[in-house]
Amino acid sequence: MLLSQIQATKAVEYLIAIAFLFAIMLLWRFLRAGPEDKDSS
Amino acid sequence: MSGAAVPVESKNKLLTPFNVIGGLFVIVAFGIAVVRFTKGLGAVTNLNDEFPWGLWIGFDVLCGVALAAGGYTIAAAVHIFRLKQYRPILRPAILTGFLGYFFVVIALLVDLGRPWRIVYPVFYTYGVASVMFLVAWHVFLYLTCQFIEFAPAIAEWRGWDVARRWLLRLEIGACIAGVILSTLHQSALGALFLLAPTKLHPLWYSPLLPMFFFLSSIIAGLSMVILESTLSHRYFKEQTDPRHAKGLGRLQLGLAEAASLALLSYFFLKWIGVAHGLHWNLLGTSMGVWFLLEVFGFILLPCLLYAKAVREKNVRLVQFTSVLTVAGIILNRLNVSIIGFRWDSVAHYVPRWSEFVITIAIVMFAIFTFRWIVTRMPVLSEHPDYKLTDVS
Amino acid sequence: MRAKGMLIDTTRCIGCRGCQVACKQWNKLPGENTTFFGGPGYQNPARLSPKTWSLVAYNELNTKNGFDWVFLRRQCMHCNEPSCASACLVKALEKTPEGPVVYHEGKCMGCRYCMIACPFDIPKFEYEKAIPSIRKCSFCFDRQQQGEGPACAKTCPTGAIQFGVRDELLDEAKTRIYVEPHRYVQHVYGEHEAGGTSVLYLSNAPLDELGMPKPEELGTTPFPALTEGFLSMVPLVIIVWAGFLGGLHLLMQRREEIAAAEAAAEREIQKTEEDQS
Repeated sequence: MLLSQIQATKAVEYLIAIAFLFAIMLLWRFLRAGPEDKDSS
Repeated sequence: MSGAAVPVESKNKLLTPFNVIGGLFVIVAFGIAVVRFTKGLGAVTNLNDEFPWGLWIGFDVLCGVALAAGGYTIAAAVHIFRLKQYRPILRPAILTGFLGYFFVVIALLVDLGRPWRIVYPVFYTYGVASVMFLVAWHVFLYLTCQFIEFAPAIAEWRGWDVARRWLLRLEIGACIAGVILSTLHQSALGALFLLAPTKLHPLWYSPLLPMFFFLSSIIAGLSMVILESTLSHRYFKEQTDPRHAKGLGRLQLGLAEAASLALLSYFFLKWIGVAHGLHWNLLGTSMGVWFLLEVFGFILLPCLLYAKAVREKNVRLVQFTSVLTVAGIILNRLNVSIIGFRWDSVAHYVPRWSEFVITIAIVMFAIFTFRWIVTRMPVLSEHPDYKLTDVS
Repeated sequence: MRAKGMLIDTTRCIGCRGCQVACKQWNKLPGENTTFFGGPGYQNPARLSPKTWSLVAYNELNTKNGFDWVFLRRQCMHCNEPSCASACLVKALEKTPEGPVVYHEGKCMGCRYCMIACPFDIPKFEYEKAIPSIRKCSFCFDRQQQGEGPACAKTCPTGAIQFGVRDELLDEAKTRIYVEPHRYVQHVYGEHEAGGTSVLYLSNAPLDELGMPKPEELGTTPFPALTEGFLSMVPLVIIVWAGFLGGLHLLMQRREEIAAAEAAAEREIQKTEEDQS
């Protein structure tokens, strides 16, 4: 594999991993926010 | 009319449509099994040299093990993370887990060329370089763990006090062992396919396969527990403790929360897999579209639906999403073992009707067994004589 | 111990199928119902099977020397580090130091994982039998133990199949290419494929055009290495997980004990206050 290709792979993987960290944080806050203790159906 | 705390042996009609149809499947399956054992696998399956593994491995074994993962996830939640509120669904989850693995072994006994040798890797000859060896040992040990974890219910049913006390002492050890074993064999089932880089489609083949299978097993376990508790509360109302019935929605929302987070992680991990293999160009192919369907329709979508449901405290949506998620897990296992496996083959494998009958019969039998047990043993509610003390 | 190998030079093969017959004869394998044009061209039987362990594949294609027949004898490659042997959970398939990958019928469970694992699709399963086995070329291990070569090599009238020490055969193959470069594709198939195989091929057309897997797809690392990473992690996972889960459990238990003790102390204080009032 060309060196540039190898670097491209690693870069994209790290980008996705970083994007994941953002996304999971957002999801966590979304899940934990909202109205408190309504009656569950 | 209020639900009794003691499990009642329901004197329902025996010949319900469900029982009749299920019974028919089981009877026909026995006939097929006879043919299979006298005339060979070729007589009842469409397996061939290109496709040595078919529906029985792809669905019965791979999906069976993934969907039985509720046993170890809920046990970990209750015993290790001390989330006591999940106690009411612990025993049904363990039972589902135990029966799941048990019937996987039954399916294997039909699929293996020489099923009487199923104990060979445990007692006779040890292929330690094989991932399959690991799977065999772990299923063997894990069944034992699940049985130990479930056995207190049997002891309570029978009134075996001493046995019950000893079993409860073993519970935490069995639980931790169960989590370790599950981590390893759930991922090992994915690792099996590492040996087929030239046969499994690149969008599913990845060094990350063990991680994919492990993470998705957690998702499968959580969703199956939601699904099983939904169905149990509908069809086993008499056996269910009414206090549990009221709190179920809240528990399911909790499980949905965990599942949503796990699904998001799984979604991103899948893309890391694509990036790692540099397979972006394959996304435009027909298999690529199929991959996108699996990832967006059955991983991201349930993630978002679960999240929406948790936020809005919408239990109905949680229950719907659990079905979607379970379907997605099944799709993934079939993609890895059958659909994505030799996807470019000229004559692709399609299961024969007899393979479907055996599979359906095994599922029906598992449901019948589950029903038999919960209508007799303290699974969906506590035995009045044995309060669930917090041993360990 | 210098492992044995086979050198198959397709440019010497005349497609006589003597090797197919010899293999059947030595291993007492039954014939098969075949049909003319059942496979690509005149190939008969059409493919390897539990009853056919050695097969001459017929190909008509553009070679280095023009449009021509190329007869490619197919059989187990007896890989240096076989995928099938690593896959087998009961060691029913085993690589011997002498070279052959042998099958132990007495151990096999019929799980067919070896079939999944083999990139050359060699192990064949007896789907038509009630008590099935896996069948494949044995490299005439029994003959080798008596100091003989495989039946196919002995029979071959043109010397297309040669049996000997693998290293020596590899040298021989490279020499042939060097001496007659126009005659061969400059590649000894099997030298490095999947970590190297006991069977080596010389040909005047690339073997992936003759039905064999592409060298790039097979790679040069042995297939067992693909699962070694996972398996080596197992003891680590057990230890780390046991430590973490056990530790977490003890931590949570301790927390509960402290909370319970505090609650009990609270009640004691309240009780004392009530008694005093």
